[in-house]
Amino acid sequence: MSRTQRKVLAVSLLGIAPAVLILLAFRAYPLGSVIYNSFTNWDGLFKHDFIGVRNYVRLFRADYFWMTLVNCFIMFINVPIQILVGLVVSMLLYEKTLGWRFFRSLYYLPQIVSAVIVGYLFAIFFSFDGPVNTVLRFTGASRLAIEWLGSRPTAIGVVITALVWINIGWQGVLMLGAMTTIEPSVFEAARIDGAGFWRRTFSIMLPMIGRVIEYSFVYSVAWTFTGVFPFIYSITNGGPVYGTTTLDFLVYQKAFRETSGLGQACAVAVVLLVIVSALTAVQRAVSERANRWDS
Amino acid sequence: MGQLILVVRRRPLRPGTIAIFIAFLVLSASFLFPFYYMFVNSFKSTAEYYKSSFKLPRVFDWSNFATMISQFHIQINLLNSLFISVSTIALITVVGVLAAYVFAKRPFPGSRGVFLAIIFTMFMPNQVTLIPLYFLYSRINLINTPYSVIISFLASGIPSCIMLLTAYFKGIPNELCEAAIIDGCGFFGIIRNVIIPMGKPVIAVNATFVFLRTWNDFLTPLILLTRKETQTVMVALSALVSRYSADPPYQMAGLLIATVPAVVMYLFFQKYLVEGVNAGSLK
Repeated sequence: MSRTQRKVLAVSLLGIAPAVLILLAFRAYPLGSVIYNSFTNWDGLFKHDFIGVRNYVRLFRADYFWMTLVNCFIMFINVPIQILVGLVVSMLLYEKTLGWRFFRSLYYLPQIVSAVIVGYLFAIFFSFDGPVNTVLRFTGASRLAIEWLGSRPTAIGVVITALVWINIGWQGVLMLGAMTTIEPSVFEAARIDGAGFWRRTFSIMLPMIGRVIEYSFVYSVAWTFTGVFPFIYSITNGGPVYGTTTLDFLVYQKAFRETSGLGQACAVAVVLLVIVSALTAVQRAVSERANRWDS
Repeated sequence: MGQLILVVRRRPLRPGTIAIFIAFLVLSASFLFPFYYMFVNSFKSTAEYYKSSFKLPRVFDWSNFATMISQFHIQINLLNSLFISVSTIALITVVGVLAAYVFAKRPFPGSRGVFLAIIFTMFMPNQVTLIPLYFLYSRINLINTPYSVIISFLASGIPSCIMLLTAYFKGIPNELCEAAIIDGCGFFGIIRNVIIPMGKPVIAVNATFVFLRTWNDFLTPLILLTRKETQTVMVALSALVSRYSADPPYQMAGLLIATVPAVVMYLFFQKYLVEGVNAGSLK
């Protein structure tokens, strides 16, 4: 390596150094620390001994852990719903249905509002004296005006509604972006050949934006594991009991609310990490397969 | 009489079109309703709220907002949020542009591996890293300072920033960089004279997203900022909402104040947001 080459390399390394150092100190180090501490009885104060897999055994034996996992899986329902609604919305915007301009400027609004504010609004809307029950009572369906957040099935329903509602705009923008990359002449040709709206949708539109739908699906599933915390915090606080606790909320609960031991909290965090990494791997495999198809 | 505008429809009105239009209207109403609800109720008294929460207020009474400032001191929390967001944007742009320029235009043996490793950390949930970070920050006395939050936001935001910027910088013609070298530009010269002027749109996209993400984030500041006067507006609000559960109008005033800056951002930078979502993985 010549002197100039070495100098070029040194400058390049200096360019990426800030990013790499920050990530090493504040991402990689904590990651290693969490994994190590999940095998200890760390309590943040005095105890810090290696205890093997005892934290994991205790976790897998606990009912609340399995309940939490089940909650996460139930909440997946939000993913197909938001994709479907987002798809319909973007298709209608693409076809320039009546009123599309007005709608286009509105549907991304929920994404702008903080998740925790959306959560509090949903909590207020679905509270016993809130607007939802007011409307139900007004329309004579007062038997349906229940304590929505008081029982597990309805509380999960409220959370899922919030998740779908906030993400319609994101899905819509993503799908519409994919649709606009399709050559309009393809549709024109199909239209001339006599293909109706449904035929065009199922035979051209959906196959051509399939990759984006796949991407959105995996991303949204991963998001359901890691991004639900503010909603749970503000809408239900995990309750009733563990009825709406999700895995990301459980990490917070164990680490920063209970004093049952940080080692235990780290074990929950590692489980969350393993699940999200697996999903990321799936995502990579999917996109690589798609790349092969493309070429 | 004003001017009469005739709308010429390209297609006839079919029942299907009307049904879709109604569905649009319902969805639009659901998107606007929270803003309407926050707005009208923040001007009411508690008594009026419980009597009619849907109607416009009888009089626009600003006392909830006045109390929010004079007693809750929300302006301090707004400033905290602003300081954290702006500092994060500034730092992430500097760090991101430097690294993305190297990855896009000056690859070296192994740079692709480093790039992939950086992207991989993007998917690491913040909940996982916050436990050790909390103890790290408390050891170096950064708890209850904005710096701990800024560092955390930097660390979690750098990967997507680098991904976005690198993809865009790759599209900048090499000839421009070479011309700059011939003109005697060094590393920083190329960045200042070529990369930043050419990359302005993507830097704006990134800044918009970082602003929204940091302004709206809840978990990180919730854990790192425990004293009211150091908290961001979202964290301070969450305490307010649980403390004043019997006074919804007061809560609404707070929620509205915290939402307005983000909505203003949206109105100005809507175009950048759409581009950012389509560039991938930004939320």
